[in-house]
Amino acid sequence: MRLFLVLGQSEMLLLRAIFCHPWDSVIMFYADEKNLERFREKIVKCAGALNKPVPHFESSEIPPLDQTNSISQFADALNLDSIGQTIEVNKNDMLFYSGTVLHLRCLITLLKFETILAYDNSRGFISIGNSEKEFGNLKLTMKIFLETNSASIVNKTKKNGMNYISLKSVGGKWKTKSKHIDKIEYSDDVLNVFWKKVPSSTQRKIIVNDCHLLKLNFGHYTVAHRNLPPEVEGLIRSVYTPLLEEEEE
Amino acid sequence: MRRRVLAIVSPPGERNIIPQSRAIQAHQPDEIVLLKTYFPGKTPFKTSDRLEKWINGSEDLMNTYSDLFEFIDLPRTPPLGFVQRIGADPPHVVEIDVPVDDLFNVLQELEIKYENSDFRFDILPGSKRVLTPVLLSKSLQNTKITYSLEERGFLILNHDGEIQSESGPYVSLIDRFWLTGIPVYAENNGTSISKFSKMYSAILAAQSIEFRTSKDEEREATRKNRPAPRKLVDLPLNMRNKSARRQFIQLGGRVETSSPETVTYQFEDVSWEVQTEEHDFKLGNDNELIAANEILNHWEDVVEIYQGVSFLSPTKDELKQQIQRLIQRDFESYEQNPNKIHTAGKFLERCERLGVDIPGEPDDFPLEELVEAEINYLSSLTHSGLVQHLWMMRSAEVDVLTLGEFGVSMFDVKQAIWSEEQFTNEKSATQLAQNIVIREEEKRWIVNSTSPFDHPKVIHMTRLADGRDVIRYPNRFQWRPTKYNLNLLKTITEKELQSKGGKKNFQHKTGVDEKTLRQFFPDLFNENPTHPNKSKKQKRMIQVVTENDTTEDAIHKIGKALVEGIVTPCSTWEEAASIISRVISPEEKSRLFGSKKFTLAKAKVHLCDYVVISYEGTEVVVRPNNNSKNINKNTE
Repeated sequence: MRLFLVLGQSEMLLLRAIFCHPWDSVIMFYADEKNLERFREKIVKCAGALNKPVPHFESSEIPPLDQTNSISQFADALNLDSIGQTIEVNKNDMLFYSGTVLHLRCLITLLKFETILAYDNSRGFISIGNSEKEFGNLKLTMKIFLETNSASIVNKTKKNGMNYISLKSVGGKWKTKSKHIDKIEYSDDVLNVFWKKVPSSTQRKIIVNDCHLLKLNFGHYTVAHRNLPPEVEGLIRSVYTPLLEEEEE
Repeated sequence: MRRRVLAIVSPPGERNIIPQSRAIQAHQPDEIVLLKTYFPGKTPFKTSDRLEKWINGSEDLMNTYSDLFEFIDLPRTPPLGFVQRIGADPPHVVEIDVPVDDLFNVLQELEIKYENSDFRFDILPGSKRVLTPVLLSKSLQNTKITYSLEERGFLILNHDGEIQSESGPYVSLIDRFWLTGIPVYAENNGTSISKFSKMYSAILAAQSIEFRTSKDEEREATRKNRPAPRKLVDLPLNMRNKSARRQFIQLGGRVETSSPETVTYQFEDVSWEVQTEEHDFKLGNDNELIAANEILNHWEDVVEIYQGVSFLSPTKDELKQQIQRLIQRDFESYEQNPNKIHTAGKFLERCERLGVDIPGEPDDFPLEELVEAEINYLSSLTHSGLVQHLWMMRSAEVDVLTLGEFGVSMFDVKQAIWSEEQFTNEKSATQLAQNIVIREEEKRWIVNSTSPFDHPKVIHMTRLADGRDVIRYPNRFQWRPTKYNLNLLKTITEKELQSKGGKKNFQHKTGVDEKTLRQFFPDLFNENPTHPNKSKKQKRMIQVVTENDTTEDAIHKIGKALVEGIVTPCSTWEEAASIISRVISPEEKSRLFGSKKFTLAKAKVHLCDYVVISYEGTEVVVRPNNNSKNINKNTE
């Protein structure tokens, strides 16, 4: 039984789908090679953290669906030729419901998938279509999240004796600078960062930078910020973030 | 013709109101089946009131804001409402409560019920979890599975993988805001912009550098805050320069200065009065229409454009509070410095207009009375009279809004951005719109100055003519001078190079940094060896891929440029990509490599004779391929 998935934004859910069952092979549809490489590394790390074997992994390029390629252009470009290789889907294969609904419908009809793997909060991973099975509800812990993302949480103390938390990469490549993280929780594939009350505009700017740092390293939908004042929420939306096309030209 | 029946998911809440309206408008059905999905244990919700009113038409939708317009009859741009096919009756709406796990079964029943109709199910509204069972190709054989597009019609996603495109109308930007709870007023639309198009284009072609004057310095000396350092070296481009006006006249226009604060441009049979100053502040409002005109003329995917879109306060109470807040703010500015025009002017003007006396002691000021008087005054005005007071009654304003193949885009047009904080300003008036319907990545700044910030969201006014592709060009933020302005820069540069003694100060004199001037006039700098800052390292000539080149030629040119351009011992992929983009345009990439992007994967395949691409940690690095004969051949 093989699992196909579109490399989308919810990486932790993708990892759970990959490890919820010993798939014969995992085949990833991707639009950006750099993202694919990054995610491949996360699979290896996650396998280590879960003490499970790294699944056999294949990949297949699909056109992007972003600000460089519109929905119409995507639909025009997505065909068996553009997928770039001959993929034969058999009755046992499943397509995970990652990516957009348009990705799913196009891939289902092009490659003749008969079963979709979906996720239900109460039932865990379930297949819909040709075969209807349940694959359990593999949950990841904060420890596994951090190991997979090569990150760690450090408890620190300010000069005035107040405690605070910092997040940093294992190799020291990045770390959060604000001293206003109150606590961090991990649930339902989301890292919830709870912020303390922010006293000054300088501190707000540091927090904004930290929010973007976390988004950059963990992905768009993986981090949720709690208790932020509205003006900081606004800043997070509009502030500078490197664009996809910058990576490619 | 068979009866068109459209079924769509209608989830709880208002979040899906835009996708729902888009699907309904694109299909123009005779019957709409709203499948009101709900999760087990929850009760079904009522369909959005505004969606129902929108289906009924413009008037009904506007009436959902009657409380506001009865309070003050604000100027507004009416929504179109649902537009039915010519000759067809208004659609019949059917609502069905559907537990999420029953969606597929309900659709099967509907397929049978509507077997003699043209039955469609659009997958744009609704979540993936709910829609998943319907996506399987064998699930519904006699139903058209469709996906509505932003800017036109919809796609039919056939069971065999084939995709057909069907044309149809789109939901106007104006309707989208009214639907989401924001009444709007737009100063100009595509039609009114087109009417003045030639004039706007001529102004853009004529504009020149606004050099700093002693009056600017005097004005700045009265300000509390010192001018941003960039203001001295990033100069505005506009019509204030006399030679710009001469240029405009040469292009066939006429210029009249009707008052110290206004100027009137005439071109062919149209004329445009522009306010250039207010309360001792220079204005750059004319840039909005010039930018909108460039987008309208050159961005092919754009189907709808508006300039000066005001998002009005949506309720009577919010409007009242807002007026109160603004009066309070102006009063505080006045209190802080009652003698300066730029801080006190607005407040004094208002008091005079409303006939309210200013007492000697600020504490005695009857602020509530002023608010009341202001509301009474506004209520007495006509639409045209209210337009100039709209700033008090809107929660946000967007300079230029477009709808196109890539969705809704928002542009903040600035004469110049001198402080990087502008990009992150939490008080940005456009936040509201962004939060509601505009995706983060579709907000951009258009600037019109000599040396703007290199920011991924900044586009220079003079580069809008490159079309939407400009957002991917590395030089999108740089000024592209006209021939006239190039000559002007050349004259100043020559003078500067020839000046004896002292430090050459190119950027202060021209507004353009020396590096860019070198690119514009390489010969000029080469001829002046005495120039103290002359770079020892001459800029390498890059051979650009042309339309006559073959794929092999292109690979050679790209490879050669990389070998010569990458930094020793290696460059990042971003640096290499920037070199590649200077050698080959997106059009040539598309022609020779099948895509507008030259991806890392393509580079690995095609450039292996020239460079080695590998990973160092998680970063991609590019270094010359020392084993290749191309290295020696090309770097000689």
